[in-house]
Amino acid sequence: MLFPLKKNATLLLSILLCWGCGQSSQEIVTEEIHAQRLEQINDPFNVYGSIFLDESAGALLKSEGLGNIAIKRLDLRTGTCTDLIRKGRGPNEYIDLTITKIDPSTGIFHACDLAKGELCTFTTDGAQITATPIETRFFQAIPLGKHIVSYGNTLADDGLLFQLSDSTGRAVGRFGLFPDDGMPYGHQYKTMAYQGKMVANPQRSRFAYLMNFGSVFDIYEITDDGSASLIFSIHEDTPVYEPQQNIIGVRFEQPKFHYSDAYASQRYIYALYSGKKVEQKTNEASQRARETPTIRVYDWDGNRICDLSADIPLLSICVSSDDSYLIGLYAEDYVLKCCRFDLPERLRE
Amino acid sequence: MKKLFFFAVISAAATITTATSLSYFNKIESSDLLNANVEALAHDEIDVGEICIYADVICYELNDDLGHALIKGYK
Repeated sequence: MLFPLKKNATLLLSILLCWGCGQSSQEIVTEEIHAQRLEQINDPFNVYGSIFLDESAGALLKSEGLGNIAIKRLDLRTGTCTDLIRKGRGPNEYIDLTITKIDPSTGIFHACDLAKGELCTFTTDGAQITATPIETRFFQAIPLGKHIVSYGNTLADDGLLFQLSDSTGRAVGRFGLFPDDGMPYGHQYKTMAYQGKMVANPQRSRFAYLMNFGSVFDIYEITDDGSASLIFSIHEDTPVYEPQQNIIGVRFEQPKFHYSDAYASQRYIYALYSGKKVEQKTNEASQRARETPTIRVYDWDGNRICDLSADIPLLSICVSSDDSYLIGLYAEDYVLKCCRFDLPERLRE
Repeated sequence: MKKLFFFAVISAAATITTATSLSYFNKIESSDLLNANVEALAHDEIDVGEICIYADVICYELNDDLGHALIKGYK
């Protein structure tokens, strides 16, 4: 009598194990997506970087690192690139602006003015609506409900990643632990090393942070009373780095691009993931390490919905608010171009 | 994009230019900070790290007698 029981138990265990293995292998589905090249667009920007989709105007917005234009608008239908905001010290000019968020339905966008320490809001035509001075130092900031979340306060010394400010820019709290990387360096060097991209979901009061040089991906929820809770976290492959001499900066040992870019809709986070080492200290090698066909799609609870595999390696991405299509920036013979991908049914609203 | 092949030259110029432009407090003339950074780069006091080249990030931060400045990489 014992033998059949034992046999049954073994059989049951085997079935459970097989089911478990099957589950893990089935968890991540890869969907292939195919590029429709937007032939009318040819070398619109000075250099690659984050792009933002203004669905109301059928255009892309991009901050420009080089040249005398702070923000450019690219009409996706005609391929026409216009200068939206100029760099400078005159009226309606800015020393430096970095877009961090756009409302796709109105085209209103938010950008960090690091020279003045402000988070600014602009109309779709580039006219400034508001400018909120942020009390603490920051590298990037993003509005989220009644608060502003920022990263990059090198004056802090608490080992925390993020600063929370109220809508007037007054500091109200700090939160989020740096990954435990074993590096013996101070807060300001960790701040330099763990830079990445923030994306927000105002409807769910959540934001995600995806790091460039480490497999670090966190999702937080911020309540109206200003408390932060960690929803999801990956701290897997942290970088090895050391401080630079005479400045607050770091040098990486064998740097590897993890999250090259990220974009978010109300339902999903699209993480452009490379995982490639930077082989040489040249821009060409940097571009090769950064470009990737792989987009990991997560929901706002951190569940990995699927991977997308593009037939062109991409440098940066943006996605429509209904998750129906994706625009990618890619380089062909070192000329920047754009393409469009229809997203799979499983992602569409 | 083709301009990027001239990276070695442009990178230094862009870095220095941005260094001038991102002085938080504007307490100093931009030319002073520019000159200071040119001098520092010339004497290898500042080693422009790879993070400066590779991502949309702050390359490094300067805090000295001339003020506070954030130097950005490419975006």
